[in-house]
Amino acid sequence: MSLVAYLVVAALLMVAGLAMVASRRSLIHVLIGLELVLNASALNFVAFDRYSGGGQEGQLAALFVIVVAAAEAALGLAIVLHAYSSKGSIRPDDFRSLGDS
Amino acid sequence: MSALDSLLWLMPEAILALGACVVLAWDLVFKKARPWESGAVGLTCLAGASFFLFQRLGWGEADVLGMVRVDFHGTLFQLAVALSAAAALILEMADRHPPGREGRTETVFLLMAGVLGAFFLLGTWNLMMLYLGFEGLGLAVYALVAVRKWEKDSAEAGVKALVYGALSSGLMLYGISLLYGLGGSLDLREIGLETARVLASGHVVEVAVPFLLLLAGFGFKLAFLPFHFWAPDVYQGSSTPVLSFLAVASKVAGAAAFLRVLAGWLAAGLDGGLGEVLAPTIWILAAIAAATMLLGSLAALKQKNLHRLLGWSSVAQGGFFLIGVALLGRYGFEAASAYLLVYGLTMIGIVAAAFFLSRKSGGLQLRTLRGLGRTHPWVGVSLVILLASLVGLPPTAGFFAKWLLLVRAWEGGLGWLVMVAGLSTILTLVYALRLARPLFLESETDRPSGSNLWPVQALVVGAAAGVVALFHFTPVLDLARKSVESLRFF
Repeated sequence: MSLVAYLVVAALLMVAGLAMVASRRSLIHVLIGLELVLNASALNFVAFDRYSGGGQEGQLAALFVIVVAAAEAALGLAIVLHAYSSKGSIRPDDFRSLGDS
Repeated sequence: MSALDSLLWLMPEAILALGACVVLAWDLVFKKARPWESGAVGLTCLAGASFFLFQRLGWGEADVLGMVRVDFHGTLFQLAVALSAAAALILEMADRHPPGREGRTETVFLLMAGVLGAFFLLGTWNLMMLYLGFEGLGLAVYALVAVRKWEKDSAEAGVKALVYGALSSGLMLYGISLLYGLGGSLDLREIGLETARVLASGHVVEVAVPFLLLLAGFGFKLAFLPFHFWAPDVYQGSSTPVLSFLAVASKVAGAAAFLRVLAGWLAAGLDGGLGEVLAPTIWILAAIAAATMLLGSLAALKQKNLHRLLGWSSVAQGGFFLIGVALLGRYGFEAASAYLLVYGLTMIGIVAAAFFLSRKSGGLQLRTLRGLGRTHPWVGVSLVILLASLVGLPPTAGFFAKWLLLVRAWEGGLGWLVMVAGLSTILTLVYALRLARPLFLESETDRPSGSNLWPVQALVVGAAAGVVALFHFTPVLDLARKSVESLRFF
């Protein structure tokens, strides 16, 4: 497989993630979309590393991205849980009380 | 450099990391700890870190462990972030609003973790490190916004901060991964060289896409158009101490890191292939600056909620900072750095003054400013001075900070941008007057008072005194000049 194939898959992952964030169906959807965005970058890192033939910088970067994604998911779920217990809903459209008065 | 030497260079970071762990463990070990104790530990650590940062200002430059860069620019803004976080921490400790001590220790810990993230964000040429710092600061901010679970808006503000913040850092990471592919390295200086080479061979899109993605990441952090929409909502939904952290520490850190990234790019490119894309880049940044200033100050005009007004105002101030950035040159960056320092000091004072609003009506409505100058004369007078600095009126540091930006923009051939900035300044004057006018009218009752508020009062008065003292602008200018020199991109 060529480098381009990996890049295309990563770009598709990225677009899918953005589409999920934009769909606004539920906050869990949004969180999954955010994870996809991060994973698209991780795939890019590994692919570039493999084909540039350099050191392991890209692979290390991918590892860090995985850790960050885990931290973000944990914090994100905590906030979503808090949001659910205070509003009784996790639809993004229900969070509209802050705004120009 | 041996491991011990590196530790010496990284003393501020080490103190903060250890201190954060101590704060977290404090309440577990000392079961009967009083609410203020963790805050005191946090303040001590911030003071220790600031002390070592102050020392480090004179130490020159070093690459520590291949990842962390110590130079004047990084250390100066790390110091600014540490001091503004200390201000936020003082506000948090003075806040007796929360019932009992729930959330107090967590807030202190998160503030320190955020500052640690900001330290690494500011002190590195490595894009992975930069991203980790960016994300460390970001994660702390999302949690800080939502930490007061008993306040009804905290959930919504937390969700908004999380979704938009995480999305922006994700976009930025994607940009970083593309840059890694382009440059074969994560070091910004090498990427800059490679970028210049790619541009010289006529491939503009390959550079423009990652550049725009990075711009999106920083755009959310600095809340400039078209990535500003989260800021007013999140500012409105967060508590005053967290607002102080958001508007000063987080923003200053993001802005200074933005300067470094652009400098790394420019360093390699100015004599290389950057020539052709320089003009469009300046144009894009200048257009963003103009739109941000205008929209921010226009929207601030009609706000009734003080936090929300400060949110829009801070959007507009970000636009002013961008004027200097848009010039993409040494003098522009100097003006932007000086503006950033003055903005930080001014904003610390103004946000601290928001602490004295009457809580009777529940919200932070502007009308509760009435009579603040009568019940707390020092705060009232200081707030007027700070607002003058925000507008850019003499005799305050804000005057020269804005003046310098406008002069540089004029010299850089961006006359239309100066006009827009002037218009935005007039709008700023209008909403500053709206804030200042009711201060000395008849008083609203039920204002928070008590012995615990004297540190906040001292903060407001100190910031105002600092702003007036820095009307003698040379020290600020010197700092800005040295900091831009240490980025070495010219």
